[in-house]
Amino acid sequence: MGVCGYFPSDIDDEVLISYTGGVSDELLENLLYLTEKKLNQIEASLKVKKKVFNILVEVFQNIYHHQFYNEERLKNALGNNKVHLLIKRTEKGYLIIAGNLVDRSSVDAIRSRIDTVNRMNREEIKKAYREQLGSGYLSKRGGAGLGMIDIVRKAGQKIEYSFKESTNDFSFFSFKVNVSI
Amino acid sequence: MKSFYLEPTPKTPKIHFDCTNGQFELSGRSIPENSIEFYQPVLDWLDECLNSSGIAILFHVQLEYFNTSSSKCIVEIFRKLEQISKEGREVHVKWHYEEEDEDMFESGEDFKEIVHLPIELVMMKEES
Repeated sequence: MGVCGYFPSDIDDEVLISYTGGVSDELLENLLYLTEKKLNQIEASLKVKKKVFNILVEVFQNIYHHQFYNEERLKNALGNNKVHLLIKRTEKGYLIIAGNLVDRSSVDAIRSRIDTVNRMNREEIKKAYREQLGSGYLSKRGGAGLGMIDIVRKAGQKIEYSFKESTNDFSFFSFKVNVSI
Repeated sequence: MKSFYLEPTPKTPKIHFDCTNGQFELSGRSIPENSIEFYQPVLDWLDECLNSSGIAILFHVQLEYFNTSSSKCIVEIFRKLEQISKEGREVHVKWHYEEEDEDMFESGEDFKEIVHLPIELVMMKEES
């Protein structure tokens, strides 16, 4: 394999960001701005640009909360504590793939939250979103319970996800969402 | 009572609430990780302002982006205004959105549905 073989072979795809590694809050912030700059360069439609960025904000926020809420314990997960991010524009739209460790005890809650939203149609999602927004609930971590509903609502497509057992008390959570163009 | 003012940052909005003339503005980006921490001071200030003055309120919201955790705090601000509006105070909200930004338009509709306040959706034409 020549050196060129290291580059992605599908040249029609435009990669906005591809990252694997540890993160700090500052690094996450920089990754978000970098992605936004790239998005500004390649996307002409304000509507699509805002949709994608909005979803990214929620995706990054999810990662942030799982990372820093469990910061002390995650130190024990050693080399396994890597965040994966891949955002690219394909023929079908913007593909957003993210993976990170989450507390094993929150797996069921995440699963049921996504499954519930995935089963809803557009009107049901809107209704659920409004109910959740109107209820006074806000978790200690500042989570509004709205992230996943918001992502599915804005993307207009279901979330694909999976969990993989990891070390100690953590599971590796990965998910994928597409924003049509 | 002095006005409440915060400079915008890449993650937090400009907030300018003037208690003497009733002009409130929330604009820019509201995507902080911890929105409660960010909004608590303005919520506290708002209680004091609304208690100390009976002036009519005109609230301009012109957000470019906001995250879901901020949306809860925005509801809190609206709830406080809803309360004084019920008590007979004149309150008017202008929710500005860019012409192409249908998600921001829908967000305005969400808030209209959730709180009982006159929220006017104002379309901003693209600058050409």
